[in-house]
Order: sequence, then structure tokens, then C-alpha cells
Amino acid sequence: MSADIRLLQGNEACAEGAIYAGCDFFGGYPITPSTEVAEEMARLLPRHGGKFIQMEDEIAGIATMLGAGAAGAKAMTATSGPGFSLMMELLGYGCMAEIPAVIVNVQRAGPSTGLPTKGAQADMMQARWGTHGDHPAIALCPSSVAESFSLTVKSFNLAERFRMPVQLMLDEFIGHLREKVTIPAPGELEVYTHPRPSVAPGEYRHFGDGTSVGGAYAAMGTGYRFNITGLTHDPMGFPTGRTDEIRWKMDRLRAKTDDHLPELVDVEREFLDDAEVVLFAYGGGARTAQEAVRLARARGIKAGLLRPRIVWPFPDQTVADALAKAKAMLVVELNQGQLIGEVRRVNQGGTKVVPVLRYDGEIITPDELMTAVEANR
Amino acid sequence: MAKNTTVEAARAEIERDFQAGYDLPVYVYKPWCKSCEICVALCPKRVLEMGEDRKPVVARPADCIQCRMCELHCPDLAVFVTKEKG
Amino acid sequence: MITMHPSFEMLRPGKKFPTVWCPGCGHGIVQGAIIRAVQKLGIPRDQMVMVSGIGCSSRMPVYVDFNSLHTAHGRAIAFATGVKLHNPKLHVIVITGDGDALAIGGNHFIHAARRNVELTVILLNNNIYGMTGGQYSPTTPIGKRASTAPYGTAERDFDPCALAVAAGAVFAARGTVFGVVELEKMIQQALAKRGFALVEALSPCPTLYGRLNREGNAVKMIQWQKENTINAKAAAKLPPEKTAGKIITGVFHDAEVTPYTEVYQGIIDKAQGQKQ
Repeated sequence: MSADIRLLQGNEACAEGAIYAGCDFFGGYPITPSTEVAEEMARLLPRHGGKFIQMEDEIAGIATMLGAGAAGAKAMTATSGPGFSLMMELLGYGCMAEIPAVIVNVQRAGPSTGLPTKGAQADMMQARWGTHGDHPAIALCPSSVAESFSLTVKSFNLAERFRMPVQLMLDEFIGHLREKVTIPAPGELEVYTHPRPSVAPGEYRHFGDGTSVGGAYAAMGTGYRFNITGLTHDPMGFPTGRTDEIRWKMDRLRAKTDDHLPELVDVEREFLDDAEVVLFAYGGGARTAQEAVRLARARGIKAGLLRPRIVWPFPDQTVADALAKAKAMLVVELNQGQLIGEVRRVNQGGTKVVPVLRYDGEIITPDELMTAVEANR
Repeated sequence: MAKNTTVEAARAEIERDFQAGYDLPVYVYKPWCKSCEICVALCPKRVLEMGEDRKPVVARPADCIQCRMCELHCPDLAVFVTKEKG
Repeated sequence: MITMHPSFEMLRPGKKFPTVWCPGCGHGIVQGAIIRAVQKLGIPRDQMVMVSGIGCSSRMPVYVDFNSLHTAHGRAIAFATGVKLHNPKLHVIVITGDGDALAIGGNHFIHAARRNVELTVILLNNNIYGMTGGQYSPTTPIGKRASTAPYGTAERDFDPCALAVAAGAVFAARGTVFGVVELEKMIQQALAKRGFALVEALSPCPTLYGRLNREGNAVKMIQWQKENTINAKAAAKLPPEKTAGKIITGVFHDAEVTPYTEVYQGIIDKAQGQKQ
């Protein structure tokens, strides 16, 4: 069977990746520059017996998607900044209720209405701390159309395994970039679906699967009747005021990421072994950073690239190790400086950390990056 | 005031009362009763009265016509009629 | 001889009772009517999904032995839409309040009615925000007092049934907890409807609405319903002065419209037809 080679934009590849991962529900609301994801899902899902619905606002979009997820669907929504802000409360609900879901944010220049058709990466801290209260966060950033496909599949796998909403943080640059993509054959990429419970219904506790990662949990209408609530609850899902049960739930949520960090590290390294100037870049910004590293190497400058695909949880150890070996780390961001705070936080040895930022709606160019590399070699 | 119990515990306690010969036309499961007095007020035959413990007692059992107004209006499922209608 | 409360079989195993509602709050009476309606229709508990928002009304799902989803304020109907569309075999009932459904949730209320999603929406109307301590709601009658309307409200109130019908609901009825037998029938009708079916249940709040408006305790408020509400059919036979100022109850709308998940199944068939 010949490989399925397509010319797709990031948003389209994201939709194709969702179908590949077994997504069977999409609820959302139109918003530039993410709408193509919804349009593709409206076309693809019914063909696979899945359900698509455009709701009356983004809050309804994520709500209906989480409702389907709670009932047993592999569910997804897609939005951009303004919608992402409206979705914050229910992102937290998805964490508390431990509902697997994928939330795609095709980031545009903000704040507010901003530059709807222009790209940026200024929602990164919102992805981590946007909703209220302590909660775990898993967020991924694709840097190509192919990764828009593969990281969507990965996002569904992580959502199913970690039983929580996973945020796929595109930016408009990648979302609207067209590239050749080889669609993997079925079975080529791992697709994980959480196991269903096998205990007797009377013994089933919806939040009693021990570590809550990789555990079994039931869909509605399958013989296991259970209660889901946004109120802090006990293993049965009953609201609780007992401090021991509250600590149990809060620690269960935190442990999802804190106790599984090795599994949640996905960082691309290029030319790092002997690199003196390391470019830390992600998502759309990483494409021109890759080019700058090649240009620098061609001029004999020992430059390297550190590119996280999983941004939350932040890969502390990987970045710290790279910092320890580098003379300088240039943090390339299409915002006024957000993840640079994390890089500085893990910079134990006092390596020079230099922001290289662009936030005017255009992508940072290789020449701009080369200037920064030259100035810090 | 009301005492917290599960429906399983309530079941066991009620079964014990019937095994011990309870035979009045209305049964009141007192732990769940919050003394709102709706059942007493809506009984068309004034069968029920509030007792010393501020829970309803079956004062005039013979007058009960099994209309179930007490049972259907109890917000806490703490009252039910024990005899079939008619 | 009946030796057990007939509703106990529907209650959540392991959950501590009595419920969180105040003494004499009408919500428990509505819960009883819902339980009996589900029993009479013989809907398997495994197929029942009770979805609620936030507020006194919305504490109901944890007490019944159904699949249950206690969501966020105002969002029950949007969550429920996802549950039903994902798995149309599930029987989805939404428990919401006057604030939850008509204030913060108003947008989802009218759109789900417009789409005619198969949802039985039970709106527990106590004319106040009870959980947060007695603020006025979209159904608080103008001039009535609340913690945020110490001089009386300045706002006209919604008629939830008229709002639902105007938005496209196929069934809309209003009942009272005093008239619980009639209310139970309405709930049974709504559960059997194919589409967006609203039952507005007038459910008194003695603790806050009753006290803030000096309308008495639980007994007085339920008796007030007896004297101040009248069924639409009975009202039609009476001269206007007899029904003036009274709240009309009964079934206001009952139509047949192809429900949303069936229309969407047609879309799936069309999309899969093209694919071959």
C-alpha cells in the first residue's frame, strides 16, 4: 500500500491526527486561526460514526466536549486565545473530574482581540496557570505539520493515560503552514485507550484506581453507575469536607505529573553535544531557530537547539543539564518573555540566559537570531 | 436534628422495626426527618402530630386513608404509608 | 403491607443521607417525583444520566443511583448535550435552578431548546439563589426582597416555559411541589418526550426567600402554592378576576419535532454514504 502523502496545513493535520487517535467527539466554536480544525472535524467525524457539534460559545464548546468525555468519548475542542480564556474554568473542571480530553489552542497575537490572523506564543503561562486552584497541566507544542499530526495522537494518548485534559499549543504559524505530510498507516503510531474496569459494579470506585495514571475507569451506561462532581470529592466521587480526603484528592491530581516526569519529557536536541550557544525554542519559533543553528554551524559557531515538544510539565532536568554545559542559552519566544522564567528558575550554575523575543505578529527571522548568536558566542 | 446514615443503614433499621411487629399505617424514619412539619400539615385526616422529639408521630392511625400525601410531600423520603390503598 | 420506602431502591448506595437541603425545602419533593417517574417508566438506572449545574437544585444527582454529572454553574445543559450526542441510548435528565439555567446558563438553555436536543430539563424554581445566601434571580418577582435587593428588585422576571417554547422546546410544563402528583405526571411526560422537554417545578425556599419576604415557613409556603396556583385547564373555565394574580400551572406546549440526535444520525448516514 503506497504511503498516504498529503499537502496539509497544521490545523488540518491536527484534525487528521485526532481521527487517527480514535477521537469520536468534537465540540467547539469558530475562532480564527483555529477554525479549520473544526471544519475538518465536521467533515471527518461523521464518516467515522463520530459526532461533531458547533456550540453557542467556547464555554459550551468545552462543556459539551467534557460531557461526552465523561460519558466515554475520546473528545476534543479547538480554539484560540479569546476562546481559550473562556474555557479556563472548565479546563479546571476537567482536571478535577479527571476527564480525558484534548484542548487545541492555535495561538494568535493577543491580548484581547489582538491580531486574529497573526501568530504568537503568549498563552504559554495561561496553559499552565490560567485556571484557578492547584492542578496538573500537560501541554505540547508542535513545530511542523507532521508534528501537528503526531502530537495530536500523543495528546490523546496522554489524556487517556493521565485521565485529564491535555493542551495542544499550536500557533498560527504552524496552524496555517502547509507542508508535505506522510500519514502513518493504522498501527504505525501507538494509539492508547484507557482500560475499562473489570471489578464487580458494587466494588467500583470511579476515583479509586490507585495512582490515577494508566488506571481503569468506566464509561456511562456500562453497568457501573458513578458520580462525577467538580466539588472536591472522595474515591467514590462523593463531595467531602474531610481534610484527609481533600489532601488525598489534591495529591492524587499533583502526582499525575509530579510522579511521572520521566514519561513526560519529550525534547528534541540538535547539535547539543559540543554546543556553546544553545537556542531554547519551541513551536513555530523553533523553525527559524533550527535554520539559525545550521547557519551558525556553517560559520563555525558551536550552536545547538533545545526544542521541547512537551512544554508542561517543564523539562527541568533536561534544560538544567543543557545550561550546565552551555556558555549561553538564548530563549527564543514569540511573546514578551514567558518560558524564559522557567529557564532562569532551573539555571543553577549561573549560565547566561538571553531572551530573543518577537511579539509583533511576525515570526522571528534567522537573521535576527544570528545577530543574537553572534553577540553571545 | 437529622442524623447521617446511608440508605443501607436505614433499610436495616426499618426492617428491624417491622420484624419487631410495627403495624401502624404510616412509618416515619426519624433519622432523616428534619422536622419541617409538611407531612403533619398536609395530611387530610390529621393522622400525624409532632411528637416531643419534634418528629411526627402517628396519633390517629385509624383515620389514615392511605392517600400518601405525607409520603409524597416529605422532602427527605422519611415517611411512607405501610398499607395498600382501599 | 409495605415494609420499605418504595424510593429507597433508587438511592445512591453508600451515600450519607439526609440530603443537604434545608428543612422544608421543596427540592426533596421534586427529587421524589423524579424518582417515582423514572420507576413508573421502567427506565433502567444504568441508562439514566442525571446532569446538574451549581446551586441547591444541583446537589441532587449524588443522591440517586444513576450515572451522574455535577458540572459547573450554568453549564449543565451544555455538558448534557455532549453526553446525549455521544451516546443517544443514554436517558439524560438535567437538574437545574432558576439562576443556574436562566442567568449564567441562559445561553445554553435557549440553544439546546433551539436544537431540540433530547434532554429532560427539570428547572427547580425557588425564585432565589439559595446556595449563595439569598440573592435575587431572573425569576424573582419584581419588588420582592433578596439579599441583593434589600429594597425589592427592580427587574421583571422570566417566564421559563414561555422562554423555552419560544426557543424551540417541544414540551414545556409548570408544576408545584404542593401538586406533586400532577408534577410527577408532567415529569413522566417530559421523560417520554423525544426532544427538549422542560418541567418548571415551583419549589419553595423557606430559609431564604420565605424569610427575606416574610412569606413564612415551609408549611405556609407550600400552602401558599395551594391557594395561589391554578391549572391552565381550570383557569380557562373561570372569569379573569378569579385567576388574576395566580400562577398558571399545567402543560403549556407539547409538539413533535425530530430530535437532534436523530437528525445528526442522518448526517452520519449521508457522510458515510458519500464515502463508499
